Amino acid sequence: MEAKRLELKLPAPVVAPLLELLLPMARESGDAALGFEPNLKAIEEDFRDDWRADLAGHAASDQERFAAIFDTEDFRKMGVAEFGPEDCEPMLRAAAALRLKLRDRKLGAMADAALESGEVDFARLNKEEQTAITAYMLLASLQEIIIRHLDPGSSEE
Amino acid sequence: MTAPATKAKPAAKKRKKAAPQPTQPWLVVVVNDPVNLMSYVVLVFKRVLGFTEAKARKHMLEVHKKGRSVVWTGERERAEAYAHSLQTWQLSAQIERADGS
Repeated sequence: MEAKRLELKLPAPVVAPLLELLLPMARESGDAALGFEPNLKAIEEDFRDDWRADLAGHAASDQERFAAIFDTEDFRKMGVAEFGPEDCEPMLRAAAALRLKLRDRKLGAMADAALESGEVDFARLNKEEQTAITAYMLLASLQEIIIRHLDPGSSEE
Repeated sequence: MTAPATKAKPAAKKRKKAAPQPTQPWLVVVVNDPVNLMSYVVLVFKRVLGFTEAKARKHMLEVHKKGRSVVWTGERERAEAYAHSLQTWQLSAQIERADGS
């Protein structure tokens, strides 16, 4: 069976501020590409730098692929992004890394419970936080779409 | 089901044979984070560790409710490989000695 391509459509006016936030973040390299601080306490000291650099390299590669898919004229003008089956796993990992970065850098003031439930009072957020939480939720929706595509038999949460 | 744990392992590739390996098994532990989706964690467990849907969900719920779950136990090099692969998927994974030392 031929693997299907996926198409994401967003209202065009929503797209610009999200790209402005996410694309620079997705193009970071080195330690900045990491979504979280890996716990390497039990790893031999001699190997920690290699381990960390390898993780950062994987994360940067996934996020660069994410950036390439969304940094297009079609997405800017019409809110349409398309990607193939080979992009699904890198997109999932990139979205996870970007959500972790958003949580760490832009949404630190928000309670974990609010983020987990998605029950957020937009009116109480400043403009930067509103953009960040919109991006955070969009990335979650993107992950859910890809997961359903990759693993249609998986039971719902 | 892929098993990427065997290819992404910078540390183990470079380890010399001289150091004697402890006989105590090692644990791969996944620690909860408030960000990653439950469905995502289930998919990662299935892809990286080869878990069934039921086993993946059981461990995901253990992480969610208890804050951590031991997802694999065994020799050090494989434990490192699994932990590295899980970290590549942005999960907070770590290795620990089974005896806690």
